[in-house]
Amino acid sequence: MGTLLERVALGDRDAISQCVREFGPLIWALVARRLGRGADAEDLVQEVLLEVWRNASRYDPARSSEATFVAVIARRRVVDRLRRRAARPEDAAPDLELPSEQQRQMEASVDARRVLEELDSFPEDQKRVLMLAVVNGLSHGEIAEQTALPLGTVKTHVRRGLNLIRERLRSRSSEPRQQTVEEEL
Amino acid sequence: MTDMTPQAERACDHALGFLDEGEEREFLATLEDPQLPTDFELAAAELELGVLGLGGGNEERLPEELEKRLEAAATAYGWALSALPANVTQRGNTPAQSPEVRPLDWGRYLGWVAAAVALVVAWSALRSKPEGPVTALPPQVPSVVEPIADAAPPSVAEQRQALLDQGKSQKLSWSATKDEAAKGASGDVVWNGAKQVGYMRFKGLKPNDPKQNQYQLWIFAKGQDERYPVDGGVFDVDSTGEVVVAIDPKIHVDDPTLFAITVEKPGGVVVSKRERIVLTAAAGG
Repeated sequence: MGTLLERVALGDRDAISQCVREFGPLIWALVARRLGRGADAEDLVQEVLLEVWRNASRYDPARSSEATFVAVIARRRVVDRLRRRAARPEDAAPDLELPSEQQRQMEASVDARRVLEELDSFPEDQKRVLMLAVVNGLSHGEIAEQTALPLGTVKTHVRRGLNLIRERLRSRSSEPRQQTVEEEL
Repeated sequence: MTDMTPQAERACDHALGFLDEGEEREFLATLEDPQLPTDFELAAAELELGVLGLGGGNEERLPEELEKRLEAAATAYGWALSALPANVTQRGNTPAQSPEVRPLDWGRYLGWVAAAVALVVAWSALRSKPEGPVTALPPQVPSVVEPIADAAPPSVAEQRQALLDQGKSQKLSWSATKDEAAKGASGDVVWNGAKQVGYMRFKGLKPNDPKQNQYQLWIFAKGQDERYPVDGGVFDVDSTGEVVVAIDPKIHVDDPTLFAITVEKPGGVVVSKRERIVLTAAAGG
């Protein structure tokens, strides 16, 4: 049978429709949080879903969950859209509030819970900086301003932190990787 | 400073959207497949899902209108894929992909696939509005179905040939879907936008019982009202031999992007549920 995305890659029309139910709410949550709940966000959700269908053959279950793969595509499109926006519209303000620790532990997938455990092992400053960068999409400069940390420290925290997460995720699987940045170097 | 290489630092910045457009282009050019997520992107996405408590399948439901749009997009995407040759699938490294499957040249198909998705989505969105265009859809256009062997002069087939001979007509080949009625079916659509005249030719399309169901043509077009397809009329097929059917839309159709044949109840429908799509012919496909 294969995973849902593997079936999409093979042109299974039921699987294509199932993606709406499986991934639509996830994409909507990620997009609306950063762009607000306006028409622009709705259009972007549709674009993301189209990208998911088109790129389904690139999904590798050895590297990530399907939700993570879909989230990568959503994050890319959000970044593109934010680049094109001169400013965030006031009538569709993003909701950058984070859920409580208890709520996120309850609701996160198994894979995501492991990442949270990794995150908890980080020093408090680094953890905060990383979350502002990854989850709220703040730039190095914005994080430095918000945390009163030197810009260089912010950059180091972000890069080292994400690199550590990446290495720990990679070590979870003994499967060969299809493309890693280290291999590209 | 970190102990990471400059390339790894760029990969990290890329994953977080910190690169400007020029830097982004430069970075992507270093990757073998820029569409494939990097490890940094996967790490960032997984971290975001974890922090937000997402990915466990208990996210808030989609807004109703958005859900309808996405479902229509899914149908249109599946419909468009059905129009591709049966041995074509996506390029990639899907483990289940058999060696004989030919990779899909997405650049060739993407335009009309996206157009079909957009058109059907917009059509669906309009259908959901009370003041929508359903009642404004053109009346069904009875088409003449005429096996060539039975044609009387000037036959529909001869009219089709005459139209082709005049030039300036669009000729699109039908692509069969997996529907059992389309097994082995082929043929083409000839359409002349200036004259607003066209003909469909079928060979091998399964004959229908008009008491049970009829074939119906739908035209997706850019020029008229792009928000929903034009009903091209119902018709019957009584021979597996060559059959030619005239198209006679009552409203003007500019730049058709997709012709599609569905199986519907006798008399046809105003809005197709698209449960049985048998043939499609796409411009540029």
